[in-house]
Amino acid sequence: MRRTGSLSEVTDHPLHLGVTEAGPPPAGTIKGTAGIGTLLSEGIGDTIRYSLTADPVEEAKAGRVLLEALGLRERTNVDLIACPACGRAEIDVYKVAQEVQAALEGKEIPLQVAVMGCVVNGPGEARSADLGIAAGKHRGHLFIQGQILGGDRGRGGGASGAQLRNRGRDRPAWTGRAGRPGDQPSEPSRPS
Amino acid sequence: MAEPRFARRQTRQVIVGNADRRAKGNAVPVGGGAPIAVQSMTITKTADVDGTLAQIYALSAAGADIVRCTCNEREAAEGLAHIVPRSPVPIVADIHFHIEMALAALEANVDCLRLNPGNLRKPEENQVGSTRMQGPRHPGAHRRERRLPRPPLVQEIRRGHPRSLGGVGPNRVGFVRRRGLRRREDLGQGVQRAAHD
Repeated sequence: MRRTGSLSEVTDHPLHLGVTEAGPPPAGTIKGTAGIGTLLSEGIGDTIRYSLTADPVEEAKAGRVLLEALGLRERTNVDLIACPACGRAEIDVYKVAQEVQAALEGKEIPLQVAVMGCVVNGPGEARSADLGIAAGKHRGHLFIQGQILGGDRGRGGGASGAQLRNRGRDRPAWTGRAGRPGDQPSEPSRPS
Repeated sequence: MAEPRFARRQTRQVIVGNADRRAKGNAVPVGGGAPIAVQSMTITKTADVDGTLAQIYALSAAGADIVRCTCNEREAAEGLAHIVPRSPVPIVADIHFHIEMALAALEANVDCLRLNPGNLRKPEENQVGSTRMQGPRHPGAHRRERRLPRPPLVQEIRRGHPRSLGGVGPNRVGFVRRRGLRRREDLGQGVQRAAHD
């Protein structure tokens, strides 16, 4: 890292970043991120490669996720944000997030989806995502581009993974359709 | 969610793509304000054209902008000749040890070379009769047979491929592993020094 950093001071050639022989994920991915991400945050690096002892598709995915997370590339894939789950959660966040991930796997949609389990961070995150659910006590909300589409009182966290999944299936490109609540013009990469 | 945008250091821009790819408009710019390019490397034998292409397509779909393939034997170079024109993304030939394979990859019209100047063999090690000479024969092989010192890679590539390369510069030798560089040395100088070594 030091060497690449000093190299960037003496040459104007574009530089390639990678942590070689990082090993299998998740440790290899984390090591790669530590090296690549640190230099990227200093503005260094023009092309990157994660070296993982895994299917190389995982390398490509990891590269995209890092660049999109740093705001260095436009989002082309679904970004699932979810709370880590804790004692406050009113729903099984882990299960719902897994359902959502499975439903959206491989879909090339620039869409941010939030699965949130309680009222502390839930409504804020769910509102600022393209599509989000926030569970609360005896109540949950489904948000579409910041607007509440559905709420359900009486079942803890009424907006379910199935509900989200169906929404995702109905409108895969997320272009919005006239006449539905929460519709907005298409925004391929929504700044958030 | 906050998405910081880092100020990026200005570099010159390298276009990764052979003449065909540039003409088709799917060459990939690297540096000079271009989006940061994601790379990965195939794990197939490069001689396996269909298997390698299937993996290249999968990598491209997963977000790879540039894909590297090993060019470690003559069969790999022959595979590259069929892979490069059918690949959706620029292909980088990954070269170790054998200058001959760099030249064979260029013959295959590869989009970019990735050399490791730190492990390219020294000329005497590529002489006929050297126990370490393992490289396949190539257009410059006659020089070995006459036991003449191999000209530096730079000159050889310039001589053999003036149109496609124009010297060891960033246009074709885009990604050079930095292990072979002396400290604070210009990357281009490093490539040339390593080649001269």
